[in-house]
Amino acid sequence: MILLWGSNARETHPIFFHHVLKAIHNGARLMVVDPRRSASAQWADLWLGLDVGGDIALANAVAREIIHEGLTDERFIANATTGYAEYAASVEPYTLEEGERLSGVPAASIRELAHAYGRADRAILCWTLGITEHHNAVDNVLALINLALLTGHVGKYGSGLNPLRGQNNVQGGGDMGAIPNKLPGFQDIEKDAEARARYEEAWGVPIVPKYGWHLTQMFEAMERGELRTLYVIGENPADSEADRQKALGLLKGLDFLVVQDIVMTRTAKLADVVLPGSASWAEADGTVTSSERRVQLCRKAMNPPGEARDDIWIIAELARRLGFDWGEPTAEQAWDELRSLSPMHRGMRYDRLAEHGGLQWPCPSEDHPGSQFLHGRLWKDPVEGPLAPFSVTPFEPPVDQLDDDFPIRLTTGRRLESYNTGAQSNLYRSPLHRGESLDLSPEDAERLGIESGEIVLVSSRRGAVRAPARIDRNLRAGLAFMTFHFPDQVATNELTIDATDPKSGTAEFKATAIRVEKLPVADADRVEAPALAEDGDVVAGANGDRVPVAHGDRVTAGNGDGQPARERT
Amino acid sequence: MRARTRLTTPLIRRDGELCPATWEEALERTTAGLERAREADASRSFGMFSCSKSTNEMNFLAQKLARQVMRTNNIDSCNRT
Repeated sequence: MILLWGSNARETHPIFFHHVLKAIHNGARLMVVDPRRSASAQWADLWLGLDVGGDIALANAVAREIIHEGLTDERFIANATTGYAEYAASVEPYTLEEGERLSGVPAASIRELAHAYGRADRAILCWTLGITEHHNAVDNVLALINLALLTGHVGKYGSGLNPLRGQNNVQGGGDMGAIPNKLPGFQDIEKDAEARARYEEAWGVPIVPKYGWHLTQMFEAMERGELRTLYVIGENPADSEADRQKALGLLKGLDFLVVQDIVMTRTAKLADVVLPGSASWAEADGTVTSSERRVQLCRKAMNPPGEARDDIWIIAELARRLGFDWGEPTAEQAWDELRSLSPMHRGMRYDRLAEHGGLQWPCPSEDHPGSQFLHGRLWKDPVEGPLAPFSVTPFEPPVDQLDDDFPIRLTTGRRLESYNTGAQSNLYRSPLHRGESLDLSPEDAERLGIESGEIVLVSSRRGAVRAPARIDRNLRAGLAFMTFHFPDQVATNELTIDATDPKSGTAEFKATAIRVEKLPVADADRVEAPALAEDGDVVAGANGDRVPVAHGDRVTAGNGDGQPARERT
Repeated sequence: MRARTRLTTPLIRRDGELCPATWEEALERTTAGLERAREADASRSFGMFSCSKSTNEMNFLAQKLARQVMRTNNIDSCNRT
């Protein structure tokens, strides 16, 4: 059984979803929890269309049903976990009816999910940002972990807990210590004195023994006037942060901003110095780490263009000028240094990675084959290492509350053909690029008297944008959807709220309260078009045919239903 | 990979505008800025955002710059959004 919870893998992880489709073909059941009847949900045996932010209520109700129906794995719970009694008591109020009331999912569906997950021989639970982009992100994740511990669907073949990571190397970035609380190898800065000592000896300097600031805290430090200098590599916070106006103001207020990137992003435009780097997946040697902990080796295929340089060269140059000569390391030399300091990567020599097509950490020695199951230790008797804890996870609704002024729930996400702020995916033309839209349910569109393609005003408590409306039957009344892929056309993050989870620093991108209004007729034409078309471009015509445009034609976003406007300049 | 919008030369802000510069100029200006931050206690005055679409090796060296060279743990990436 495959349970996608807050994940639209069909559009956001299409390669992974190929494997899901093969599984379905082989008889696996797919269940999808998502407020929208997403592309993934359309493949599912069961779609649970919960209200945005209802995940904990649903998870707790599922747990209670599993417990009451005797579907728990009692031996696993007794042997491998702690805190069960307190947890079971905490979910007792979440009856099927209460679960329906709080989450919006019909009681019968909650029951069906509980029974399917509880009875399955093998079940994998995958989640992504639908779970983590909330003010109570950590609790959301813990609520899902509870379900796996309840049923023993973890640490063995075909079962597990699997957050599907977003960027191709976000897993690796964290593993490499590009986070404020861990040294490379996921070694805790405050708790692991032995690791700190190892790094101090290797690097000849004391390591600050306190956690640093994460992204959100750095913005808060900018707000206080404390953090004055920022070095940004391959990130575009001027477009990707929640509450964009606020983020832009803070970035503009810095004393010194240096941006290292491959294209001129909105963040780069604010910089004091812009350093042209390399598109690492083709223009540099190096490794990346996937969602299954597999470290894979990529080989450089071409040089970066013009005077752009390898990112490693740039960083090493700065280090040298700041008093630390690293000796012009190659990627492999950097990796070998990492291996000497990170026990979980120690055995991953480049030649071994090439030979085995990648290795899964932990890989503690050069004859170790890598680790297939991260939590296999929970099935040993006695369990190796600490027992897995249940967590009490109380339901909390989203922070940006709906009211008469802002009655529609906007949730944001991604589409298949684009990526994040479009820094890369807007560089190529694609017939799938249709620009941004505010996706509305048929019911809301009718109620508001809005037609598909009509430019509307979308407002939240923080800002307002104009966008073409688009009717999507996969949305229920009261739910709207936008992406952030076309910030030059529609800056969606003007609307979102930066209410963050204090434990993870993640903002509640998934839950914004908005109002949608028709524009006065004169204003309705004023939506910025995306970039001018060039010779050889085609746009989708009204009948799905391809209509060629010439250099200088101005092409506005198609609405998917009608002809995009064209005019010669 | 070869989109016209690829950055192909370092840029430095002069009189309010970003202008093409040599690597020497860009690196010198950057070094000066980072040095000022380091002198003012980088653990409060400085931060780094690293790239989740780049290699492990780049990320490793980026945090090494933060921790060994700048003496701060203020480095983060897309891990939390």
